[in-house]
This record gives sequence, structure tokens and C-alpha cells, in this order.
Amino acid sequence: MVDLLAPFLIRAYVAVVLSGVAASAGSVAVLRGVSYLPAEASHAALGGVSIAVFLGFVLGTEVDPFYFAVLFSAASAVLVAYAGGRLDKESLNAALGGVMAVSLSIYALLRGLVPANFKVVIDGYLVGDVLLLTNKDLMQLGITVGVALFFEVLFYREVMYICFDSEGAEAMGIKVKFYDYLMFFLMGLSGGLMSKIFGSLLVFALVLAPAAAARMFSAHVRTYLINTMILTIVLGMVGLFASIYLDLPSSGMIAGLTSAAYVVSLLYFKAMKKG
Amino acid sequence: MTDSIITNGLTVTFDGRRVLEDVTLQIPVPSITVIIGPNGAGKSVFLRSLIGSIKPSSGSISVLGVDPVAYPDKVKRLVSYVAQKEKFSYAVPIGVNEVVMMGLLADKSIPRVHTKSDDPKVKEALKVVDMGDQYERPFDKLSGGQQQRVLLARSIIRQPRVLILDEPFNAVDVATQNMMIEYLQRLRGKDVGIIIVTHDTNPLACLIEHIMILNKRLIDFGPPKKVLRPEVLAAVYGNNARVLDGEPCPIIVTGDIHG
Repeated sequence: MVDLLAPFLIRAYVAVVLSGVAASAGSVAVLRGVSYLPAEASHAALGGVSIAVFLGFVLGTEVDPFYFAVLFSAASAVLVAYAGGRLDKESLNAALGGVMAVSLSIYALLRGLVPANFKVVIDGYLVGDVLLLTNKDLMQLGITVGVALFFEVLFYREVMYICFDSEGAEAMGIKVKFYDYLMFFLMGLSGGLMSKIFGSLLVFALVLAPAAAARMFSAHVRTYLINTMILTIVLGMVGLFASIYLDLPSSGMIAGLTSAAYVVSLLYFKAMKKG
Repeated sequence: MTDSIITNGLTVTFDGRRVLEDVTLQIPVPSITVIIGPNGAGKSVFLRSLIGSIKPSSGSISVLGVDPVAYPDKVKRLVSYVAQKEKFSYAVPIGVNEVVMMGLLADKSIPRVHTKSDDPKVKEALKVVDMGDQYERPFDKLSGGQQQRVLLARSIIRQPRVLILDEPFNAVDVATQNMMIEYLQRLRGKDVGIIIVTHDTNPLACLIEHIMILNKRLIDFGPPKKVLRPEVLAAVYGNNARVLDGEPCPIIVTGDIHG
């Protein structure tokens, strides 16, 4: 019988809640027309982690990869905004691809230069495990999510206005460029966080899928952000318990559920439209 | 405060390409001014330069005595701008009331909290554009004409001294077009300056006080009867364009107005 209050499980519950809050960045990405950004950022985190691990190997000292991961992912997102120039969809998509290619090439190159015991650390960000988080991990995640949430709440209206009508927002005196960069930074930060919790490979399923599903049944921006958080947390918890009882990998189980939620929502709304 | 919009040698360059060149004119405020010109003539760039969203590479601008490059926030309090509807994102789930509320909250300080006294103002602005019964409807569920009315409500709630509209009649029904024109006329009566970019001047024919013809350079500017000459029309609409004779207001007849 599994002890549901075992410390590693309590840490996993907290991480799922934190990931739910961070997943609201996925909603902002959908609204801003850059749905893939958090996923791109989570892959960029691999570049940052590889640099940290490589530095640790070369210098013979421990370099915490978490800070490199989130900073690299946030910086890559800001770089996408910069490279995207006028922030139209085509330029942004091209920039997304370009920045992701740079990050992944750093990852592939440096991973090949370190011994196997260092590779394990890098691979932990590729395919994460929510059950392996430490108290220190949670502390880092909590602070970073807290910072992201603070700015999201404080600048909620600016974000909504810019996503809806950036030209109009600018004409009303809102500093579109500044908020766009901040928005991209926070989306990148969230992508980096999610790679720590669930692994980069599954961020698509954990950030984009709940956001895309929630969009179908949300009539207002505020409810959309909240619905995404709730959906991610509920599916995260269900997936976690299911993985414990079925003895399956937790990240994969949760990602499977969020993906299924997206497919079911899509089919339901298509059927509703036809009916 | 100077009651006009003045540009002097206004030139805008994007990626080394001149999109606006040496535009010098004076638009009196209040007045109704219509800007026409072929696609890519720099009409929207001109409008966005006036509100400080685009910085000129040379030349100067003064909007009611304020330089939008040096004081963009000041100008943005004087001017309301309605962008083309095509530029809005319909992926954003937003209610009619929230769209109009933007006009009020944008002028407040962060975190731009909406107070109870804001609601009646939003309702009133919606009533003015005959959208009072659509207060909470999702914006993306409205028709093109209704959306344009809501955007007009968002602009007028800010009580601007100058209202700028970029292609406001695109894809709107005749009823909305007439309502908007009637309302613009009322605003003009309240001393608001109105600048409209449009491909079709005819619906506004009897209201236009000045026409600005732009094709990267200023082709002509002045009262319609002075400006709408065959050679000027040809520069915008091609050789088939002409002004109908015997009409009280200048009606332009053309084959393909997009050239």
C-alpha cells in the first residue's frame, strides 16, 4: 500500500500545483499567437542545463543547472521576441525555430563532451520525474512561479489588451514592446520550470494541451487563465495517483491525460458545432 | 494650444525603404479630413506617426501643439485611434464591455483597477452606438458592423479631441455605416477633429472638409472641390475615375478603387 503522505509524494503534489500556476503561461502564449513558445523555451532549457553541467565537469565543481535552465529558457523566449521584430506570426515562428535550433545544438554538442554520470543530470531535464524533486527544487520552483504569478496578476489587463489589439493598446499609451518582452520572458520562465518538473519532451502536452482545451470552454480571458490552471492541476493530480497505482511513469501518465483532455474537448466542441 | 495637426517634411523609413516622404500639411481641428491613396501609399503609417507609434526618420509633427515623438503619452490622451478590424485577434475571449472598458482603464495607473463608476460610462458609450443590449456578449460573436460599433464606443469613451479611424467602413453593413457617419457628424459638432482613412469617400461626401491624397508623398490636400481634379484622381484610382457632375457633394465614380 502506498503512503499517500510520503514526503516525495507531498513534494509531487506541490509541484503539480506549481505547474498548474505556471501552465497559465500556456494560455497567454495561445492568446498572443505563439502557442509553441513555452515548449520552445523548455527545449532551450536543455541548452542551459548542458552549459551548467559542462562547466561543472570542466571546473570540477557543482554548478546548479536549475538557474541555467530557467535563465536560458527565459532568455531564449526574449530572443524570440527580439528576432521576431514586429511580432507578426511569420517572423515569430521563424524566430522560434531559429532559437530552438541554437539551444538544441548546444545541448547535443555539450552532452557529447561530458561523461555518463554528468549526462544523467542533463537527461533529467529531457525526461523529468515529478517524484524525484527535492525540497530545494520545490523552493526554487515556488519562488520562480511566485514571481511569474505576481507579474501576471499585476499586468493582467496590459496582457489582455495587447493580445487582443496590440496597435490599439499602443495607441492608448500602453508600452506594447515592454510588456511583450516581459510576457515572453515569463512564458520562457514557465517553460523552463516545467522542464524541471516534467521534462522538456512533455512540456507540449503539459502546457499547450490544457491551454488549448481550456480555450474551447472559456468565454473570458480571466476564466480562461483560471480554467487552464484548474485543468492542469486536476489532471496532474489524477495522473499522479493513476501512475502510483498503475506503477507507470508519472510524467507520461499526466501528459497522456492532458493530451486526452484536449482531444476529447476538441471532438466535443466539433460535435456541438455540427449539432 | 494650437488647434491643428501639423506635419513638416514628415518622412518615415522602414528597413531602408521610404514609406512616407516629405509630407507637409496642416489639418485644422475640428474638421473632418479623409485620407485616400492606393494600397501601400503610407496612409496607416501616417496615422500611426501622428499618435507617436511610429517615429519619423526626419521631419516634425505637432498634434494640437504637442510633439508625439517627444511626448507620446500626452498625444495619446488627446487622440483616439481605431485600427483596422482585421488586425484584432479573435483568439482572445473578451466581452463587449471589456473592450469598451479598455478605453477607460488604459488611462489609469497600473494595476488599472475598474471601479463601479466605470460601468455606467461603458453602458452609456455602448448605448450611443446602439449596442446597449450587447453589454456582456463575446466580441467574437458579433457581426463585423457590430464589432466596429464597439470599437467606436471604446474610442469615444476616452473623450478625445481628435478621432482617427483606419478603414472604419470595411465589411460593415449599411445601417452601421450610416449610424457611424451620423455619429461622426455629431462629434464634429462637438469640436472633435476627425481623420478617416478610406478607399470610398462617397458615403462621407457631404461631410468631408478636407481631402488628403497620399501616395508616399503628399499629392494634394484641401477642400474636396479643389482637390478632386481628374489628374489627381488618376494618380489614386487610375484613369477611369471621375467626379460626377451636378451632385451637391463630390461623388467619385471608379472601376476598381483598389487600383
